[in-house]
Amino acid sequence: MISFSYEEPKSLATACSKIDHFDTMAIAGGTTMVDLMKLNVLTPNSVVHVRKVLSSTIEMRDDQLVIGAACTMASLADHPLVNRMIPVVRQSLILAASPQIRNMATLGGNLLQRTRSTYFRHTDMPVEHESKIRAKSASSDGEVFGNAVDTSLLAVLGNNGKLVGMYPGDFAVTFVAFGGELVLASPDGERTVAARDFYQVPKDSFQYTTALKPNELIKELHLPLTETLKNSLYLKIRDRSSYAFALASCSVGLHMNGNRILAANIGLGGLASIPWHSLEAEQALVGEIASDETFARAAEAALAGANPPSGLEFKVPLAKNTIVRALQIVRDQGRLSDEQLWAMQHGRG
Amino acid sequence: MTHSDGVRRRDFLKGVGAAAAASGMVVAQEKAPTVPSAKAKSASRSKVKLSLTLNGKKKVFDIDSRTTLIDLLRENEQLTGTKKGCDQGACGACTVHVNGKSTLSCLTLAATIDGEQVLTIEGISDGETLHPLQDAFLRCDAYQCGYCTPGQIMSGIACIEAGHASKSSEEAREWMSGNLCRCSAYPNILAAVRQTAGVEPKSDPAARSSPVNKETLA
Repeated sequence: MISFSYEEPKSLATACSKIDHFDTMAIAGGTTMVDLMKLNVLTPNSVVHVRKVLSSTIEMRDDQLVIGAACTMASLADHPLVNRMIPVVRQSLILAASPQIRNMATLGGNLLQRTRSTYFRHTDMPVEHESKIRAKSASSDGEVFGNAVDTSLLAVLGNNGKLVGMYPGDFAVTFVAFGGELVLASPDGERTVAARDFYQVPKDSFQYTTALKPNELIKELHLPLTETLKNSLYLKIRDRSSYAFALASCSVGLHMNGNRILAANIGLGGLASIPWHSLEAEQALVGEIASDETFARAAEAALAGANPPSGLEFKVPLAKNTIVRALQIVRDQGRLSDEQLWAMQHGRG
Repeated sequence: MTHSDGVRRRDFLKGVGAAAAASGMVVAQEKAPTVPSAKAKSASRSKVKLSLTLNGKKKVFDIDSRTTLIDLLRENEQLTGTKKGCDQGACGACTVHVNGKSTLSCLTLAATIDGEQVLTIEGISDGETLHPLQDAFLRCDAYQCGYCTPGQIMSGIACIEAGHASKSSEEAREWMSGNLCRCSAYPNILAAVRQTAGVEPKSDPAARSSPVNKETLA
């Protein structure tokens, strides 16, 4: 790890005025920062500890769940309201990482989790822009998109035809799917940005960028308490039954009248360069009868823009099946208890 | 285990370590004149003061800002019970408690927990009386090589205290999933945790489930 100066400012305003997310970086839970600093992927000159100047409370305000950015993943998952009423939020937290990491990681930091692709995590494995990030359409010599590249943690959706890192988190998928908003604080004041606008698909970079400006910090997360949240599920498919990143995941919520869908929320994880909100899938569902055929059409719509690099072709049918299965569970079983979730995740349900 | 006479393994290793450090210092001194003064300046700027309550005792440290909690425990305090496995948050061997919550000491920058309470494997027994979960690990043979054991026990205590060990075995497994055991002693680790939570009778899993032996005896 490269030497850095360390400080703990006394106020949020002071913290914001110091950080630029490059030379002077913010640290809260540290689970990503310390990891990447050890690898010399991040080499800040100064590190500013922001956990103590950010709120960690959870409260209801005008039909919104307002979460302080320093609230940990574990605290939000165990909050009585979340535990009782908002299954998809609890599930996208307790199916992520490990108990230790959930005790440490703050939600502000969790939203900013970096890609896990080796091309980002190892400084001796740079992505060669000319040969490796090749637009599919530009490959006129018949070369397969992503050939001879470790594509395992690259994006299938939102990749603009290039080899770019996949966003690995779970909670952010739910947050974008259900219309969450972020309050960003800076020395000039505060502004509110929709999570769906906060994440930007990579253009020239290897992974997503955000709307966060150099002097801004995430201060609060706002989640509107919609009807769809009550009847919701986070379905996560992975290589092993616990403590693994998603191969494909789906954050779904349905508001039904009889068997007709009045409102729907769909988010996808483990697939895209950013936490993916599928407006196309939602449009294919709303107003329709909640039949398996409707669900299949929604899944097709969600993956219509998929562009899998070599080796990730399997993710397209996997994602479609994940969406259909998640919708079927919400339609047929409603909210799942933790016990039902474990049974399913451990392969018995 | 008692050490009535002879040299303890750890004391022996400490002696070897001191010799290695001494020889290392010779090299460092040889190179010392070439170190530019700017480097010394940057070293002082990266110093951090912090205080911790470590296993019930108040401690004050003056450390490099880069020091992770596991290095502080092992290198500064010689609390070598906490093990460094992957050093990148994937294995759980380094698990300790910070303010009662299971935490990965390898991904914790020590400076960020100034003023907090830290509990390590060395702090859970009552003198010579083992913690009930330590006892259960012995009874259940919940290890082979033992390297992951301190982390498993710290996670196990947190799992039991939060009530996750006393519902279904799948929930207990889920809340222990942040600790890998490459010897794959998982069934015995689970038994130790569930027995300590009081939801399974205290017994050795090997003695309990031996259908082959029963048939042979019959």
